[in-house]
Amino acid sequence: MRTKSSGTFTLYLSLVIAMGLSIIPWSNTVTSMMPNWALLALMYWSIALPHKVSVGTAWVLGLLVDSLSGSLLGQNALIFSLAAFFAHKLYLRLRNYRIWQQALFILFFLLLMQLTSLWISQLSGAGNSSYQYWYQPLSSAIAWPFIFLLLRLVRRRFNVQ
Amino acid sequence: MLKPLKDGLSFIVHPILVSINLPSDIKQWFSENTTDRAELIKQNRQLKSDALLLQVKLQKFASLEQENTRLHSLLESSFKLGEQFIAASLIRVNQNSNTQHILIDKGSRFNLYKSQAALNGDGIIGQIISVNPLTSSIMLITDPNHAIPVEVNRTGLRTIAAGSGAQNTLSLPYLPHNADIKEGDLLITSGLGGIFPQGYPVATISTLNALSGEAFMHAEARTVAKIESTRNILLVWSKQQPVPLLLPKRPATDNKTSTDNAH
Repeated sequence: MRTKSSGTFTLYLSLVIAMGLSIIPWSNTVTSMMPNWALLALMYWSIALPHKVSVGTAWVLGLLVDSLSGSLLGQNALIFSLAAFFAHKLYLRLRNYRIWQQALFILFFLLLMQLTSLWISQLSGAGNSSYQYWYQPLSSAIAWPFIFLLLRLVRRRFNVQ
Repeated sequence: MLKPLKDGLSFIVHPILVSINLPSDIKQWFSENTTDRAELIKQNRQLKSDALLLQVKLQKFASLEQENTRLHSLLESSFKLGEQFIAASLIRVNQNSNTQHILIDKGSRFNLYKSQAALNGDGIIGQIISVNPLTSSIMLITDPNHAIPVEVNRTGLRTIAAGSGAQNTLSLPYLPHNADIKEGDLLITSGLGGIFPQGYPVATISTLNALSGEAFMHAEARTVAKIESTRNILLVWSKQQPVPLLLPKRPATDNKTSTDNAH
């Protein structure tokens, strides 16, 4: 378990589980309040281990999420790449933040990403959004401390580095 | 152009879809395998009586079908009855007020094609919008970007029913004030547009509201198929080829309709 490759496997497994979590069928209201699990997991790993999760990894992950969720191919890929890019730029600062400050950062960042996503879907002609569309950044920010602590536990337990 | 990439991605993510679906599959398998004998006998009796009832209806249907085809051929118009079906089951639902799509477990491996009509036991539910090798996604008729050509079964009035984004609700935006329509009228597919085969039930009129000053009536309809609780979906091949005008001595209507049962 202490080899380098097993750590990589754990990392990718957690990303796959996060993708799976985001497509579990719920009722409409619950679905709109589900945090963006895959993006949160990606952000954790690119803040904690920026040398392991590149923008390219994020792009591929985003393409897979696009394929899973049936959205426009490249929509999530762009957003995931942006998230990884900013996490790489800011990881030294983000690591020093407290968890609630990180959650606040996640909130504003995801609001921005949700806006970008809205622009992209308006360009492709599937615009009009309801206010439920904006729940996801909030729920993601609330879920961030739990994701952070859980994935940190996973990282230490399985010695991902 | 991006089709190979999309196909490849859908192959990669298919294990995730299957594993997410696994608990409900296991639950179904478990409940199927641990049902009581008495319960099974009861179900069996119920199904047998249902089958009997349907068979009696079908006897009449066969003769009606022949009569209808004969009458249509007398009128020198062509009409098609009896299409080919395939059954598929639901994998994933993607519903919000903007998009109402579902994913099913059959794809181009079974020769499904884009804009193929999908229905369940009660009526039309939607059409295929993209086909992957193993899965395909269906846009429901309640999607706000969807519209379906319908006619009123009672009067033959043709109109268009658009999706409203709300569950099981369609809106009819192009009904003039003097249209002969009332609450409870059944809307069936009109077959215009060439996507949906003619004559399948779509919705029943639920509210009619004639606002003075507006050009059209405000009308809403409830879909016949209970879309949110459906798991088994039928896809119909509606190649719009007409029946020959002169009937052969014995029309082979029986082997036109074949079903492939999944699960």
